[in-house]
Amino acid sequence: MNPRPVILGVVGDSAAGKTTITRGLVRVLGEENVAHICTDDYHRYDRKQRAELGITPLNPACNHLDMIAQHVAHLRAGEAILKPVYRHQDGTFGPAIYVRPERFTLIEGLLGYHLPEMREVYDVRVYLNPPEELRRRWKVQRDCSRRGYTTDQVLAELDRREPDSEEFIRPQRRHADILVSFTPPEGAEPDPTHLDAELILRDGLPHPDLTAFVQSLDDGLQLQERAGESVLLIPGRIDPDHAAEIEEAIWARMHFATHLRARRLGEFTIGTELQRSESLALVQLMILYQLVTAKAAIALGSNGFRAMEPVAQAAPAAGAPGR
Amino acid sequence: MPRPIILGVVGDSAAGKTTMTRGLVRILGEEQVTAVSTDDYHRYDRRQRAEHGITPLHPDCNYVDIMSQHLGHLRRGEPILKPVYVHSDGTFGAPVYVDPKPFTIVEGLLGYHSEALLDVYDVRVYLAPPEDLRRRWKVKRDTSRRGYTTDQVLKELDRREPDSAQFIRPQERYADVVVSFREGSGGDPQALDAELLLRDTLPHPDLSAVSGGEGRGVAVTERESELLVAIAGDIEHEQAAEIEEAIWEKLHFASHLRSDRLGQFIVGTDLQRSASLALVQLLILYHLVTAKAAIALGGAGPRTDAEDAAGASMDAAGAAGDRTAAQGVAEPTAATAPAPV
Repeated sequence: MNPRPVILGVVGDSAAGKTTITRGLVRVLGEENVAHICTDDYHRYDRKQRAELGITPLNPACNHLDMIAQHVAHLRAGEAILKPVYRHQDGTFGPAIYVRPERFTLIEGLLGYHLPEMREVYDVRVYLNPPEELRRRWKVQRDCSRRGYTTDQVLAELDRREPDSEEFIRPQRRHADILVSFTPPEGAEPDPTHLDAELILRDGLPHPDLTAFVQSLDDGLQLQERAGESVLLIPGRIDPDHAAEIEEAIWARMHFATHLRARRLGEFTIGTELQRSESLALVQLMILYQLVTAKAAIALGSNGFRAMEPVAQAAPAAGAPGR
Repeated sequence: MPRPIILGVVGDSAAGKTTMTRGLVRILGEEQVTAVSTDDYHRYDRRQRAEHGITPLHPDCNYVDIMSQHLGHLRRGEPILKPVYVHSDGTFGAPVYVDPKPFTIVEGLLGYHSEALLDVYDVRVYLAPPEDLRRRWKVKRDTSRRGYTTDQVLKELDRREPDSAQFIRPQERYADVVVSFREGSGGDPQALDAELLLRDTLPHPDLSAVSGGEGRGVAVTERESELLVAIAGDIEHEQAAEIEEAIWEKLHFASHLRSDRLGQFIVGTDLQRSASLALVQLLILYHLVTAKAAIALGGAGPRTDAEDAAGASMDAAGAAGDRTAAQGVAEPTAATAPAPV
């Protein structure tokens, strides 16, 4: 029997950058090795019904959260599911599709950490937390260009959703192992290829030790230890050679996954143009590190770093570096 | 809430599954029953099946694994997102959220195909009408309600026959109750004979008191580990009522269900009634409500061939072993025999 799949959660508000983060990871892991679930598929109401009911998709009552938990538990157990399908183009539901468990399962969506029984399922929990004004700009950009809305419509919708964002989405930050905030450097015009990245790395998972790369330069890596977590600051203007050194060091800790090495992390699109960001690449690599070490730990017989059963082995498996 | 009771009604296309279950749903109450058709678990829609040259009777044409996964959830009292197959146009609709109710009736072609599926049921019924009668029923239904011509239906029946033989009919052996409606001497659809095979995998009500004797409408024959019950289509009204009364008496704890609506069926748009159908339905109802009572009292369920399949881990291999071992058991144990019989 194959070892059970590794489950990654990428949660954040609408247009927080979930797809951008995950696309690079999927590319590196290989499409054929990743089962990709978007929790929007589990909406309880279609677009028309939501309008009638005056409910936003951010509200837990607007989603079959129990079914997300049920389905992800099946995938984690190595069992296939029949997944519902929500079509963003017209806001309706399509026929269910059969999804097989792959080596990695990626759950992306708004409310992935809302229920306790959902939170238990993940090996790695990421939350995307851009500043609100940046997220609003991203949402306007995407929804106008790809979902057929006008700027006014998107802004009105953002305001309408704010109470639910506040009540249901943002509180999920506390459940993340890795909290990611891309922010434009202070005072600078926001350049999407050079956003600073702030990572809050919580102690629930063993993160790679990057103290050797900390520099007291403006464009150097910064690391700050706090109770129960450390804060890693990756400047958007980081020197590409320095970034490459750090990447190299993280890859060296994943020697058992060298076949994944590719220079394709950090890519993203603006409109139809492919761009690259060093800080995005490093963030993705930090997440990838968690995925492949979890995979190695499971292959060695552990139940992963975060055991579903309280009695499971607490010690990380051999080969997984401690902090 | 105690866990739901799961009834399986399996048989080939047009074997009478809907006729059988409709009456049960009516008696139990729509709001008490989750009805699941395994057709919803087709892998391919009508167009894809034509392209692949595969019939819906073939296991490869169905998500059999998801069927048992979903039924397992319902049995544990958990909701599911059930797929939807639309018979009118042969396509799939959006899935629906199904909350388990006190009874779940699963009707379909391949309900007993896998070990994992078999473990789910409290009561397993298989419908086995003679092939010529089933063919006639299928022509009637598919030409009147699914928009096919007689020639199309007959051709389709021939095309499906190898799969019927290989995948559908072998499931008969897993049933607790095998039902065969047959044409009586009169050929009247309201007066079909019913032949029931009652296997000792469930404790059946004792019908010996009401059967036998000259000119009686019910004959019971005992065979090794099973009873054969023949109900004449032209059974006297008084005798049928007497038997129904005897069974209802054993269901005294469910007297609120009593109704004269069993046995109804539809020919075209006409509502008809069959005494033999009513008796067969009542017998199945007996098993449903006694299973419900047994579980409400803390028991595992009525089956004599499984220790308890209710657990979250449905160990297919283990259950298969249990079943084989229990095939020869002649009497229900005290622990599994529910209400006073």
